[in-house]
Amino acid sequence: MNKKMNLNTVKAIALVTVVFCMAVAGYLFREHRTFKETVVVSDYCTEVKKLSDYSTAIKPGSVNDCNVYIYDSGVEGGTFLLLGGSHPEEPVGPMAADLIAENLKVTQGRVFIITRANKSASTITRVGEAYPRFFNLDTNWGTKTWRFGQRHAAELDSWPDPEVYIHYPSGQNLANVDIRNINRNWPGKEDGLISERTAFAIMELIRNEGVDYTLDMHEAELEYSVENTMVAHEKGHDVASIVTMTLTAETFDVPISMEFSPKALRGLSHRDIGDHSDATSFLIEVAEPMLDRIRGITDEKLLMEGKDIFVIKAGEHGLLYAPIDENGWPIEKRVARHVATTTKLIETYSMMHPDQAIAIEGIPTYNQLLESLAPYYRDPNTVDSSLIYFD
Amino acid sequence: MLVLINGFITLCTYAIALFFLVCIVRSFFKTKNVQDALVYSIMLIPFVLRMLRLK
Repeated sequence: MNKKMNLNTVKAIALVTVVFCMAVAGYLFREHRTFKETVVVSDYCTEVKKLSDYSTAIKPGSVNDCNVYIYDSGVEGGTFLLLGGSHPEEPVGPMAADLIAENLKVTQGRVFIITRANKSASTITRVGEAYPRFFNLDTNWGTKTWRFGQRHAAELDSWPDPEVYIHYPSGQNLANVDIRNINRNWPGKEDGLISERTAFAIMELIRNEGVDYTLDMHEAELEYSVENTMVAHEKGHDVASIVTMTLTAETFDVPISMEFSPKALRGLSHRDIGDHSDATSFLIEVAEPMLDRIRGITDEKLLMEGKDIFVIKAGEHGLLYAPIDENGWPIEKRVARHVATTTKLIETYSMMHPDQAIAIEGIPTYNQLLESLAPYYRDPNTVDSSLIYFD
Repeated sequence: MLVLINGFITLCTYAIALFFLVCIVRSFFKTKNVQDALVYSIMLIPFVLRMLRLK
């Protein structure tokens, strides 16, 4: 009798403990997946559409039905699409896209901004690698928070992966997990899995809106050779070379290089957006030490400060593709580089293609952003609610 | 076609997860061994989280 009571007591305690653990874990997973990022658009944002407005490949209200922020000057000119959040473990993409969306004024032409190109991938993170769920920026009005994600759409939205991912339409065989990586899915597939559908819907936006050029913002580990660079489709080699030379000469302390988009590697935005539309496609990378395999403690501090003793040590031995010193690669510098490159790209493209010119105002300079990012994110509590969107 | 197959496999996965969940819960209540009961209770976690579409 006593033994049976002991057994039942242990079972009850075990069950309560397990239910408690499940409740905590479940709450944390759900909080991350359902968290809404606030974007306070600038006063000059003329319209906000949903991606599903451009294609039935994305179901209205579904996880990847992201916002498309439109800045239309009403003056004839070019059309530019800025993509952030293709890889949500590279936070500068959405941070720079948000910052531009919150400050932009277009006086000629049109600018389209997507801050979360693969939203599903931002609703799950790599807990096994100790990735944080969120990252925060302190401002004088409070804390602005973003979801930290991973390269691939969540398994809850796209599962199982095929044995081999066959890229459409090239037929190239790619790693199976890359079927959930939007930057291996371009130009997308209307009846494919979620990342393929998302890429297809964005391609429809590009084709239907007559987008002239696109920029996809990324970050990369310092151990990776495609680093601090602009990768350009052959239609944009002239523009990219001038953008990178000018920024290197006049603005950046660490040079930005320029690379040709390889024709043999499929699914990347700089290759397949350009091949399957009239748009010229560009992609930029900046150094993010948190992505390096040799990093030490992985936390939000490393993500924001970009400082890691092991990565710095590897740099001292010349083992990396980007320089790093005791100052690291802080978030201010990374965001500033992407914002400055975007501004310079618009300026240079307009200069070389006057019939597709775009004129913009309101974007802070590289040096202003190096000082602090905080003043350039708007306080959602003091603006008209019609300017507030969630992604 | 791939989408259809994926949908079918996903459904099967949930059915299998539910089957194992029921088996584990049953074994948990039937066992008279304390160590087994603890193991069964821990084994429950991923199946419950999957069924609730939390992870």
